[in-house]
Amino acid sequence: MRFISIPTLLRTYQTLKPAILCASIAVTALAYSQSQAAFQEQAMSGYDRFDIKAAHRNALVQGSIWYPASTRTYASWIGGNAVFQGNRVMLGAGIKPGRYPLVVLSHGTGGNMDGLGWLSSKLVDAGVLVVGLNHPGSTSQDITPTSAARVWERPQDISAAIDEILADPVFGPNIDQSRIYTLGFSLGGISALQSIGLQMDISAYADYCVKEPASQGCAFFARGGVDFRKLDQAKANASYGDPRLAGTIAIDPGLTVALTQDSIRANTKPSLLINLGSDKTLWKAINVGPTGTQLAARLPGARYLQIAPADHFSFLGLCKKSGPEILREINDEPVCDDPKGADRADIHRQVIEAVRDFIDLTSNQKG
Amino acid sequence: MSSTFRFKSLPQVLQTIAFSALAIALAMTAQAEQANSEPLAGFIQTKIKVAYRAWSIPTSIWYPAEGQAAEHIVGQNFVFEGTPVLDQTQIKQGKFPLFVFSHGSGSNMESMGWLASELVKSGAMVVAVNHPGSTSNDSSPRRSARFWERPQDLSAALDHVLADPVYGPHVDQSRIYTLGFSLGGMAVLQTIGARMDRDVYADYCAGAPDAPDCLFFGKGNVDFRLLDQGKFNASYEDPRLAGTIAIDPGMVAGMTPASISSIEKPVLLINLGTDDTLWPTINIGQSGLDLETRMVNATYVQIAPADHYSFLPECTENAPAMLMEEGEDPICDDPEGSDRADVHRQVIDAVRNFMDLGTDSPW
Repeated sequence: MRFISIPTLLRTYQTLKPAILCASIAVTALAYSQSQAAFQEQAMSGYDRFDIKAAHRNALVQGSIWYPASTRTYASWIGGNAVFQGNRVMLGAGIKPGRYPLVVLSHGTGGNMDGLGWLSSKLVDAGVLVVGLNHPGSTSQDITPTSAARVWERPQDISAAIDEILADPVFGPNIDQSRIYTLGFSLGGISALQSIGLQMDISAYADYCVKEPASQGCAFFARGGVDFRKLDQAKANASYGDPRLAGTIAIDPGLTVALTQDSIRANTKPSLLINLGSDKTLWKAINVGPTGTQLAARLPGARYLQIAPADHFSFLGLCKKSGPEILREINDEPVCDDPKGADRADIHRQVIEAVRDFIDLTSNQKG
Repeated sequence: MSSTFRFKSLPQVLQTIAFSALAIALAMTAQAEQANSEPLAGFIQTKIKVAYRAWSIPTSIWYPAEGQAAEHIVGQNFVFEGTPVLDQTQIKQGKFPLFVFSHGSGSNMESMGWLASELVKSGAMVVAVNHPGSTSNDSSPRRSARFWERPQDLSAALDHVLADPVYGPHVDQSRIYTLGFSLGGMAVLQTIGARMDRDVYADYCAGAPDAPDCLFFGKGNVDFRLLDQGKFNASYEDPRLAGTIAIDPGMVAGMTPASISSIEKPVLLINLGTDDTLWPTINIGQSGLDLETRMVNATYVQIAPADHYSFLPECTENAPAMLMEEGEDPICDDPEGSDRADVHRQVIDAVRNFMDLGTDSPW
């Protein structure tokens, strides 16, 4: 429930630049010499951006799609910055025709669709199309606690993205409409759960924040003066279930304490819940296991997986070598440092595998 | 193989080095004392939000500067030489003609810095944009095919400058021109009234699938007949413009003859090459698509020896080898006997003559 401020990073980068300059030129030379081999060894995902019309927003929403490429266009870098590694894609390439399952990603507070490229690119390798979107008001460089608290907007963004991509004359026909899933992380985790029909009682979250003011989510919203009791209760508590979805994947979802028991009990769609950490290490705010909100046990059709050692930030992209140092320099949270014994790349592999298995399994059940 | 749309395929490695380039540029800003003999353009960057795009439009304004400021190199990277500017300095007193720049497919506003800088030295202002979806590191055939977005970007940039409390009052509103290269050449012709016909262009690509433009769109599965016909065929004429300058414009085959012959505003058409060397898709002289005589008030200039890529910035010493190694087009190699700096000078002179701008710095 926190975010990396890119402007802050850039400012820091500028103060560090004399030191970084030499290093980055050296790295560049290396990257250059390696780039050819890398291109030939590994097929890159196709990637393109699209504008999403969303009636509940006052501007178009930024969307993107990752897909198996059938042509070579221009290789481009997606999602990298001073701290995080990016991914290389074939920008705007043709799509390899097929009938692919679709996963729609919902990023965490202050995150963005391109930062999840490590996941999107690997899902494409597994034969899945991935749509990402940037949720206005709770994405990188466009985030306020007040906007992020409008919990009814994000699931509607997801449905708008599905509308848009299904209507696309190129991508739409390649989507297997019986296998559309959402996948969300952190604040996106609750959005994903809402997208299959789970409903909030936002006053329950207000109560929780009275009791746990220092918990990650509550502290963030409090900094923006958010009073959940003053939000539009009808909108916050409504159902945003999208009937086109076959299931959902929620990773370290926030706010699950506010999900209503009725909507949980009524759920019929399969879900995969992943916590990054163990019963002993998980933050209360995102723990859906036996020592947390027990959503995993209460939600019909849910599979639950703990990946450990890991923590919430292990879901973020792989860091560049200079990442930890830059974060230290600006006294930012050490989001590049994983718990002792944890390897972020390996955690990512486990997440990817779990998601792949879940999609295979649920589609087999359907078929 | 050369192609209209490959002229700016920067090697992948360039994306990696964006930060190094930024660092180099920043390192060079160390409060350089300006020599009076070489007045540089003032320069600011901003972003414009528009209703028809989810992404905002990166925009830069180049203007006659006054006073001291930090020197900054714009557009420097491992392939191209950059252009020195004065970062965010004061604008000189006076009213100036304004050029609105549209870059080529997959290129960017910085790559036209050599031209912007010289036009500013002749007493003009320039506003340039990066067109999302058809710019560097975001060059998508699908989004480049949305031909209706680029001319609107240019009108939005013009709106922005005119409304700006600092820069707006300096624009001579009787002398606002668009200037575009390649895909940007099509966009600027649209801004003075040329209209595209979706089905004509679709037919053209059906008949010439290997034409460089059609090949590029084909790589992104673009089927023009599935695009929004209303938007595609609409007029994007901006009545505030006094005329336009189109250099090697693309997609002319998709323009309606009626709209071309109805354009009365002065137009400068530049081709880089001769009747014998020009690619058919961009040859707008009498041996080609003949905008020269089909437009009432057109001035046509051929600059040779030169080719399409000669419009790109001068290259760094190591660029040709790097491009070859990356398997990219030889965008740094000019035709035999041709000198890119000299081609640029001829383009600058042609624009100055057309605009009746001074050839020397006015101060």
